[in-house]
Amino acid sequence: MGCPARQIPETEFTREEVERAARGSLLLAMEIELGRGCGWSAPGRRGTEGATSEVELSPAEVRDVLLQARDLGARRISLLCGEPAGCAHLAETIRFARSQRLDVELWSSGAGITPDLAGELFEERVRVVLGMDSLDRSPQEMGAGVEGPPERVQQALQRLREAGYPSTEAVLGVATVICRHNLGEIPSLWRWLRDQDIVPYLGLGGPERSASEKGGAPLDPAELRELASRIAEMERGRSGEARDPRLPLWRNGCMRHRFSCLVCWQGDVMPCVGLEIPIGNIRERALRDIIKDSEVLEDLRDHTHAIKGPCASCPDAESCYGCRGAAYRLTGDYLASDPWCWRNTDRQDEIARLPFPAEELIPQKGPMRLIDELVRVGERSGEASVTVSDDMPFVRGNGALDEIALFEMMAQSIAALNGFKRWGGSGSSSQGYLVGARNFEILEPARAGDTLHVSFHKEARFGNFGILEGTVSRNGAVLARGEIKIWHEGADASQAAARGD
Amino acid sequence: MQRRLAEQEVVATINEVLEDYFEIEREKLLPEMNIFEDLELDSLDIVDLVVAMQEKFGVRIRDDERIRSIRTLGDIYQFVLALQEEGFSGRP
Repeated sequence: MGCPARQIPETEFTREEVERAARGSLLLAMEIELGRGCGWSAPGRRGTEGATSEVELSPAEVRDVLLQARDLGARRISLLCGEPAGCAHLAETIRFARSQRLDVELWSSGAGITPDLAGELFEERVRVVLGMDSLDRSPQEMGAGVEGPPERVQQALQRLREAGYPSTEAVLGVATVICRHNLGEIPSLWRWLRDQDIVPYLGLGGPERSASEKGGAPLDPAELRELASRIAEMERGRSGEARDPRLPLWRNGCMRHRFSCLVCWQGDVMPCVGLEIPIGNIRERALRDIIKDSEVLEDLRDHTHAIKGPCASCPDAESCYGCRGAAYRLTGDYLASDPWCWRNTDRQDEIARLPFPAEELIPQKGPMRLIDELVRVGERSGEASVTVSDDMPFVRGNGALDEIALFEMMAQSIAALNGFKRWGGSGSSSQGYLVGARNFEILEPARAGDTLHVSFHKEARFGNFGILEGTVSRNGAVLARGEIKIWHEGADASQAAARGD
Repeated sequence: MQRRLAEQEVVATINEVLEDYFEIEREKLLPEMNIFEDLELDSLDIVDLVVAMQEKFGVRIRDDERIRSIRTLGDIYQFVLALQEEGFSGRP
């Protein structure tokens, strides 16, 4: 029986399993960060910006979320632990996961993989993936944020080999983030890894990783296509298997949001390491409810209807939606087409990017349009901005903005989000009506010349009705807040019915 | 996870919501009262009621079909009690 590394594993889940998980809001896999102190973030992670807490999950909390994932159908747990030496309960967590019949992957920089730990990882049949962006050069030569150093990884590889890796049941991999400085080296790195029976995992980091502090230009989609084609050709020569080149190459397309999620070190749940939108926190809600209620995941499970732009009309749209992390980081929209996909090279103008002009999103025209741009979309939330002009209809002679305008700004911001979700789609826009408000407070007046930010969060949905909490702020200070109720013409309800919700 | 409430507590909490949020007289809060005809709630009020129950009981009601068959105050009591039995959780 050959080593599984001889065939690059795609997702180990069948299409039927993935579809079943997506329909049922279940899991097949989960990633979990084992503490901030591990010192390594998954490729492209930006750190703790926007984190809801600074307190790491305890070992008991980690075990509890593993059990929740198992109960949702998860079979594989990926432990993101940059430096195992800094993760006191790594071995205990692995043993616990294995006792629950969960397959375990460990993503690590390699630091702290002692001979004893390597032996235990092998005994537990943990798939180990080490981060390494170059075989030859140190991170210092390549620039900040690049994974390595090669010496540390080489030592870890050696210890893992001595423990028995790679084998049929204990897979060894190396994760590489493609950037300007290693682009030319990737084919030789790939070949070296395959010769060692090590599984290569190629990924794209954020825009800050594709360039470098040394002034390297961001990667061009055409370069990525050339790279993918070269590697596909190499694999064809090795295995005889023809493969349509597509990044990320370790899974030949990534649709993980249909069956997986990421639990961060402080309990925030996100769709994946690249799509950094918190969708809940496991200290506040059950994982099952977070996944089921997430609008981001709901959209991605319904990707054939939700993805916008050229990706929506791609022949591979059923089985690919590009890198959602790249789309989100480069456009601000998690449903945008992937700007890095080479198929979209000549269609960049069809990809909507935030901030986006409100005049293209809402029916209100001329002086009655009270917002300028949609600037952010998130989990059941969004934000618009407006600079109050002198000629705005609700501005009084003394320059003060009538309070009713703040209320209308909230309503138009919500409409702008809905319009943005449908931008570029074939269907007609649906109508919505403002039907009520509650607990509305005006704390301070706005004035001509103010730049206001209108943010809102969808609190509840029932049938065609929605309840939203909105705030209007200026320079971070809240001017108005309240709860508004809208009635939305059938769109969400009908889509939900079509999906069988 | 929010602790399971006894039936009396559920009834009292729902009545409190109806008194405080919708200003319905306590004397009218009887299980046989029709929420539309007797308590004079409308479809917009039902949305607010759903939101209030989510907050009070720590449950996610979503688009539960059973809501649409609710006619009396007693139906509301039974609905919330059923949600508890089904183990909806709002907090760990």
